Amino acid sequence: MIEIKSLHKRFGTAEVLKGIDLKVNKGEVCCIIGPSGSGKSTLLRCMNLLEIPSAGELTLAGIRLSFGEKLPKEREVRLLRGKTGMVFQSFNLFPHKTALENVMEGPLVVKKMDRAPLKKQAEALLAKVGMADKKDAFPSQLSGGQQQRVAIARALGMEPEVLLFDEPTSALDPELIGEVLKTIKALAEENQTMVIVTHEMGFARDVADRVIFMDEGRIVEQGAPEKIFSNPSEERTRKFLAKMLEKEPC
Amino acid sequence: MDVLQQIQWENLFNPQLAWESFPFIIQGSVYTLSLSLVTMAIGLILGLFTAVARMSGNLVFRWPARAYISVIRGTPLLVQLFILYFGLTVTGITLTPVTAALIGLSLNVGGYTAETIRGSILSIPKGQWEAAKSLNMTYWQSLRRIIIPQSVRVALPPLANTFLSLVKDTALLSVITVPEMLYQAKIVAGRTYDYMTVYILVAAIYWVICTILNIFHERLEKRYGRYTV
Repeated sequence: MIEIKSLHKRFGTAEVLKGIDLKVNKGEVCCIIGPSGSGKSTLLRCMNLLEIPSAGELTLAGIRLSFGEKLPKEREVRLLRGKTGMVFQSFNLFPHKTALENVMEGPLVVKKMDRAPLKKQAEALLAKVGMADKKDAFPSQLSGGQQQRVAIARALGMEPEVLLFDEPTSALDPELIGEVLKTIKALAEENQTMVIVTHEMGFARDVADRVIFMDEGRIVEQGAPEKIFSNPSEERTRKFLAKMLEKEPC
Repeated sequence: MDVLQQIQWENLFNPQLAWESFPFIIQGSVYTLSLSLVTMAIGLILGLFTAVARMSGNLVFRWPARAYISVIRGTPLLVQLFILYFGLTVTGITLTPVTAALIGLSLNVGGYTAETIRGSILSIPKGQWEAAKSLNMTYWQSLRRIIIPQSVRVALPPLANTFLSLVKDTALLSVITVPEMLYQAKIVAGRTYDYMTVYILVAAIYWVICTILNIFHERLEKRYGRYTV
């Protein structure tokens, strides 16, 4: 589904991604973990071209783009991006639109779908994330967890092949994290292809088919969650996990 | 003390004259209002495109936009009107007073609102652009559906100010012989020599118009503020 070959990303003189090779299969759930500044969010944002990589190659849902001196064409960027959906750390719901309108907005504007069938589809998506009764609420009237669930429904509205999550629970109060994780887990059970950048180790272990550990712009190691969490082969992974699990009393 | 006694207060305002000249002066309000509305509308469109050009990564768009804003904001409106109406004639282009007014005021409004609109667009968090992008919207779709509706709320108070200034600035058009309210008032004043009555009357009419417009503005602001509970 996704294939990344020696991907680099530079911001000015700082090299944030130093050659990433990664494959994500259809239906797979990949969790990317690692310390802050390790480049995991940047890698995720390269997958839907919110950041344009400096070099390397990205293939997503059969669309292949190479990066280098020349920026890719807007048409190609949108073709690839159309196969993805993204959920942000800070939700980024549209504050001037209700929950339902937020979910309808993409298909309405981009796919030019008719309002009536679209409304039904959007209501079904809100029901799926447990937000049917709040469809007419504005984001400012919702809790963080509720906003994030609406944001997930909004991303699903575009029927993405791959769903990208950028630390979806990092901005939430601890008691609201569970409801969002439950929603993501339900999607995993439907075999939705997902790449999730997260600091929730328990969740990663629980839901991921594969865990990817990144540090300093490189993938240090990857593998099944049992392997990574119980018996990592790299010293750096071990150190990071020890630090994380110290914080997490579970 | 003597000075105070010499003031002839009874000459300050002549209600009789005000009453009689009111219909003549108010005729000019047709120009005041229609020119204000039309040039505000054209100016807003001009301002939006100038703002977008000014933010463009491309020098070919950014530079002319900067130059335009700089010239409009750095020169008096009255001089701009003189150049259009009196100056242009040397090239063989003779504009009617109303045409010169339309062009001059629209360009002026465009220059000022461009900066207001640009500021309001920049005030919207980057995450909104990214969310729109992640739904695969184009730049213009994002701008139209997501960014502008939110920036209107930010831009509304300064835009309302611009509009009120514009309504009052139409008085400048009297010097290029557009028969708006002040022009009409000057005719009456010249005929009767009662400048005080006539100019107080015309000032009062401007004040009433601006007060009414301000009520509209407050309503609009409420409407766009609706989603912030």
